Amino acid sequence: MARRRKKPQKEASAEPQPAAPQHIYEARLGTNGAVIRVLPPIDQVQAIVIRQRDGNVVVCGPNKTANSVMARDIEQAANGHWKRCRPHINAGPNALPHYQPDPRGQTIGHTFYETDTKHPL
Amino acid sequence: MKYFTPELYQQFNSFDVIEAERADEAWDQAEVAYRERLTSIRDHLPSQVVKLSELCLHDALVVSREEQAQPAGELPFIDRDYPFPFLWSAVAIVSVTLGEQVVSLIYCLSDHLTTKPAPEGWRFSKIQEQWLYDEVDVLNDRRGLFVHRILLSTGVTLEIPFVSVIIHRFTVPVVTNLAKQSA
Repeated sequence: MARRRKKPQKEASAEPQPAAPQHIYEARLGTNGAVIRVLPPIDQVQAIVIRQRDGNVVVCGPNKTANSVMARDIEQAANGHWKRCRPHINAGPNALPHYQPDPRGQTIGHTFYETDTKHPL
Repeated sequence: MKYFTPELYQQFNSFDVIEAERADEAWDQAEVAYRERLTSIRDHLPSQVVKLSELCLHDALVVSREEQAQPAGELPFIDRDYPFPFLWSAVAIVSVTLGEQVVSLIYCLSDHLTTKPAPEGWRFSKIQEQWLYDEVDVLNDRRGLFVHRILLSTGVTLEIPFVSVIIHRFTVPVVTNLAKQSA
């Protein structure tokens, strides 16, 4: 009788992790660098259109890296070349990191993203 | 740049997510270190230099930067046999626009302004020169001598050694169609 091979046990860490929920919002700028979400949430295609019209959008969610990657993808799709900027040290306590076109030209919009410590209003 | 270096900015903008996130953490540490440095020297900074350290010109378009040195004349109290009986004064002016506002930083220099080229592999546009990050420090820990380091979007770094600075702001009025017609 052939021995049955023992199936390798899956490690807990190898289990597919549920994707962290992310939401994208159109945004407007407040004082002290604040980024204010405009409800309701929008999808990625709408965000790209807003960015192409030089508006502001913000990607929110509990995973900073995932938010950053999503923001990068939106900026890439909307404007092609991008640069990622940390808020300037004097930009105000509520400023968020963001992506913007490179070169900036006459544009003023941003694709912001939420981090562990910096949140939109 | 001592804290917000062009290399760190490049890494922060890496297409490699792991490298970019590592640079993000390093940037956090650089911010903490710079804030601590500013706090430690703040008592030695004149009010105008404190104001300079509190400016936020991120994304401002650099429209002009120049340095001019000229002799200030013979020093009457120094013997003519002295090898350097003449006094020179040098001024650097960096002007940027933020929307309709123009900000000019006028430095009385203690030495020549130095310009460092972009590091190798700088991938960002060199079409426009925009202000990215800057640092204010005391020069060689000597009282009365300061340095302003500025990282520009072209990857160029300015290092401006100065003794005093004037921050001059003014607004350029928008030319409306009506004004154009009446001209």
